Amino acid sequence: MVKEEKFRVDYSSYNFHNKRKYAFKEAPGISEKVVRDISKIKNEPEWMLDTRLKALRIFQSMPLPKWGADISALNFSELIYYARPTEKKVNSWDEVPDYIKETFERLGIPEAERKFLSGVSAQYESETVYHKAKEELDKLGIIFTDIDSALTEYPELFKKYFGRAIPMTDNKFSALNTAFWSGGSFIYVPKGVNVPFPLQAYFRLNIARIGQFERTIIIADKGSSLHYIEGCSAPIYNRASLHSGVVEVFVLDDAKVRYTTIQNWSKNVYNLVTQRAIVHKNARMEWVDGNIGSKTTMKYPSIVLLGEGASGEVLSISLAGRGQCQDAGAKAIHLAPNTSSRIISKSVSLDGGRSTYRGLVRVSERARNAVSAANCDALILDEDSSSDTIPYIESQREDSLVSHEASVGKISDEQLFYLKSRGLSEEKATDIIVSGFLSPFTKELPLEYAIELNRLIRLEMKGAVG
Amino acid sequence: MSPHSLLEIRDLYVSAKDKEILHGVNLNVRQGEIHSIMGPNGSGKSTLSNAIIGNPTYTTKGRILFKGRKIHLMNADKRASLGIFFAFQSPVAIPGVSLRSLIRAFLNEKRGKQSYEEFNRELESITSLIGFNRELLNKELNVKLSGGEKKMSEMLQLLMFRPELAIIDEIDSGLDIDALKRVSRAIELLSKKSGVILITHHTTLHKYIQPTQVHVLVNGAFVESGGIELADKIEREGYSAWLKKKNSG
Repeated sequence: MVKEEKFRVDYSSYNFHNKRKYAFKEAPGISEKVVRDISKIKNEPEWMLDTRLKALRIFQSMPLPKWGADISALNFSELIYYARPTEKKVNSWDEVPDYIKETFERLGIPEAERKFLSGVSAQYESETVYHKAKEELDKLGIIFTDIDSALTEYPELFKKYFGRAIPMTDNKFSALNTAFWSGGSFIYVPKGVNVPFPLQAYFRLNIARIGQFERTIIIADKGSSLHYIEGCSAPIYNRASLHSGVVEVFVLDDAKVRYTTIQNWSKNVYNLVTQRAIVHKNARMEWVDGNIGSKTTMKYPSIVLLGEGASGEVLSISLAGRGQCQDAGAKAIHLAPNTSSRIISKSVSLDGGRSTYRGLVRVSERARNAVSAANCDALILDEDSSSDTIPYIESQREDSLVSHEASVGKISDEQLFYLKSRGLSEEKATDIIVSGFLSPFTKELPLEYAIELNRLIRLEMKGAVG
Repeated sequence: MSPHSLLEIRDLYVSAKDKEILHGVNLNVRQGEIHSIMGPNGSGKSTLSNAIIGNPTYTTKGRILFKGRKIHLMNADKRASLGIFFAFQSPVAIPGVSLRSLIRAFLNEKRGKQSYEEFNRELESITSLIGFNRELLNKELNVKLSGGEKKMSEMLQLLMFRPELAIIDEIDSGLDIDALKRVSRAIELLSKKSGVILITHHTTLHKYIQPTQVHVLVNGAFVESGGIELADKIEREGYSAWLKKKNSG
């Protein structure tokens, strides 16, 4: 008998281009052999294999972070990598936990989509959407593909940017991702091109469901603009208990990128993600980041303001319910004059959940006249739940303007009474107050996402409020 | 109980934090009537209205009947769903929630889901009736609003709610004369089918709304009830006569 698996690699996502079946056996632990196998399956160039192997050694030598959420239950020596034949589904609908099925039911998500979202089917067929989008994107010279294809099709561009924003040495999980990465998006927007509609991950035809170690690279060339939406607010079930993605964004001079993501992993998942944008002269980066699911999340979207006049914003919400720990926040690193950053964080803790805002604002010697403003508001719905705010501010300039405001509150009896006097039940009243609290985030989302998110939050709160 | 009796209050004692504020109050409001409850500051007017709608801050003893049903043990939302609406004197701010979405939410709850077209038509007609600034519909509820704007927001909600019993707390403070005239006309229209309780501590309002009855509340008890002439007396003499009586007694 093998020990209870802690997490496993889903090999199916490595098999994009391969029609052959690979019969891998379960092999315990993280080994060099596994890395070599992955690289071989993907037909990767030598440099990529070398990079992976180097990253593996770094991963093995680095300790777990001593700060942040408690992830001590992750036991890497007990890792079991799971081999999955290509065409045969291992997952079945029966394996999906009931609470997720119920959520789909209540959200009214169609059957086909449910199976995709829950991970039972590998692909959500949206060919019509895809083809229409693809035509338009091709006309504009935009590259939008899965990252595995990008390594083969755009080797130079790939090599130029891979690991440039987030080196493997950045943290233990960026090393892990670099060793085992597979799946994710690769986007290049040419100079001066404005992508006319938000790019969504599901436009990609051969997207596997979000991989365990997904890697996304976005390059917005000078003067271009892009809104990219990753993930969806419906719950994603994954049997693997670790998701460790890396997202690297390069916003060149005068370009603008917004990256919107709402994660709703099932509540067995450790979600440890590194997201960073390098923002050049007069360029702008916006992270719009929602954290609803997972058991434990550690995620701090970062903006590195490298060029003069660069600006960035991190707008995030997190919802920490029963058994959940949402350790989320933002980083803004000011490295050039006249750069500005804004951080808005909203968290809701309920039913024993813990949420933490953890933020870093750093103003370097070179960042003359830097401006940074952070606002963190926490709402705690009951006495079993908690919230912490941990802001770090390091400024080396006297002329910088760095502010941090934080509030922690409960829903007031006065607000509840007011809404109840309008004939709304306590549950409805609470929903309305919480939606209002989160609205600075929701109103930045495309309508269909906002609606889905609101419905989802209502579902999460059902039973927890009473 | 007369067949049209809406609200009956019998021997109502109300306390907040173990301090008794109302000491045995009786009131009877029928459909089509406007009752004005007047009294100096701190006499218990707001306590009475909060007790009728069911503010959990207050504890009550005695009976409150609405259309013959005992409501004094019900939660506020239940009382509202029976048809009672309370227009607050200083409504609390609820950030991120627009006035429009709140109205939509409580109407959906009360009447079942209505089409957007129907809802908008109704909103259009009532905003016109009271001269409501429609820009406020999309603003956050009671966030950064002037006193007058908050009153108008409460009145708009009231008229959209179409209550059988409306309790209106200090509507005349903060409104300019034109707004007060329009709002008063709307209240009179409403009172044809509903009962109305106006809470007020001065008499300006009665220039525009003719109450059926005026009740004077002093130190937590009704000291006198009568017609509009009672309001005229208060206009001339204030509450000093009753306050003296109370003190000497």
